[in-house]
Amino acid sequence: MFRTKLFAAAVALLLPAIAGPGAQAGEVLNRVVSSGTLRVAVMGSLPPYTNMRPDGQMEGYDIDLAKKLAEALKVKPEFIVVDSAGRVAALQTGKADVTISGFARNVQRSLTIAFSDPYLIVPGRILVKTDSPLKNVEDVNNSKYKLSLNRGGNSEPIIAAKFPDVERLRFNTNADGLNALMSGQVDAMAQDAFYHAEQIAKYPGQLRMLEGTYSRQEDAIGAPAGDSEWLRVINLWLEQINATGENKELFKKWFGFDPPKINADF
Amino acid sequence: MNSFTFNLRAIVPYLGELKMAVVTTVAMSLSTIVLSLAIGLFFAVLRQSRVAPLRWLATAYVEFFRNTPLLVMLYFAYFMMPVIGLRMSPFQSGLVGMTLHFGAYMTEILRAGLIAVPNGQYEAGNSQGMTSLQILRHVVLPQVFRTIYAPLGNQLINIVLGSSLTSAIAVNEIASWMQTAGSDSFRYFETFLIAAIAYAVLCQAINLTRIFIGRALFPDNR
Repeated sequence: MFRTKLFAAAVALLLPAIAGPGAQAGEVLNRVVSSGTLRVAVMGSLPPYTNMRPDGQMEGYDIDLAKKLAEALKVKPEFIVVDSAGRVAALQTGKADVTISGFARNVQRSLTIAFSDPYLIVPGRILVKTDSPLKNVEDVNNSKYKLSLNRGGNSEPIIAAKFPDVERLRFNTNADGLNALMSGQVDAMAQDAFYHAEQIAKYPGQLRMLEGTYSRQEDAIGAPAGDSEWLRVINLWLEQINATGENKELFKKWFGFDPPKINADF
Repeated sequence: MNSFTFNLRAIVPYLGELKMAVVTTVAMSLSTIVLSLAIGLFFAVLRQSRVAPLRWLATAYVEFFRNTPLLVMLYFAYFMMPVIGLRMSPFQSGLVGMTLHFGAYMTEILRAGLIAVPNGQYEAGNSQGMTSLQILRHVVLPQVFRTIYAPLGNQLINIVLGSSLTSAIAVNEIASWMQTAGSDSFRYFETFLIAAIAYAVLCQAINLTRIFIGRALFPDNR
């Protein structure tokens, strides 16, 4: 009895610490402007999006974008290194004002945080060994094939819906998924086209991409839910760097080729 | 500012997959327990052998697998074995890696039990005209299992918790569910909590089963 009460008391003490209302309109925006710093959550290592140099400075496509955003707001950027899950938690707990880190938006995720308009479209494609009999993306959906994918990626439910018949094997990292392909444990690997392009260059003659795409992932800037004013400013800024071609230039600088079109063909 | 609200209800749509994940974890753990006990018994007897090369072989097995991380063994079974033409499914690779790893620990636990049986017991068996296999089966092993029954409990829990590493080679068990459901719903705190509870309940269930079986087998062993 006493133990039950003690447990209830402990839970009651803990709850206010983890539960609370969302941000108020204008709250994050005001804090950024008045403090003069933009706190940006980024992943430590997701080159060429983000990467930490040996001297501890961050670099990459997403980092350059964050610097440009801070410059437009006339504040200083401050980078907070997080892991994949931390990209959300940093916004939920108010540790970061934005997350810019290869962050794919979807409806499910938008229930907990807010997303800007997309700044980069990432096509999902399938990587196979050069001697594979597969030709089109659709050919993969066959129960005799095995497909490796990233566990917990935004693409996991998309791939499950698109390829219901193939045996889907989930790995924690891209490196493990690629190992599985290289050692013949799987016949194909699902990932974004930019990742595949890098691997094909790294293993010349051994890998190729199948024709077609299986998904259109929209990378966007994450913000704390509740502050629509903050989101309004971010979206206006995004529209402008797209219109001026700055975004395209940045992409080309880090990836070496032109980005896919941002507007969808409906 | 704090925009995080703890909401377990958001996890409800993922509970169906959790059920499958729990089944996989239980299957992996129980199979590993049975197989590693068998392997452990084999090598423990070998380590007591009078033939030196057999002793060396058993010692080499124990020292190699006890001193390498389970994760490395799992990677080895899944990614490296296909190179020599042995292609196993994620579950099979996981079972092989887990069995070899935990078999080494089981060997040492069982060896401790074997050492604890006094020499007089063997001599008594011999004087009755029993073969060495009969002595092992009817005289020595019952005493070994009584001795090691308590320390075995630790090992069983280690096996259940160790099975979470098999998610690295694409086994869809509880740890895998935790990552998948967490990133799909963005409810990481909730999924972590549920996974922790699932493991705690599983471990406790296995522990209680062990205790009740122990009471039936060794009523005077309190």
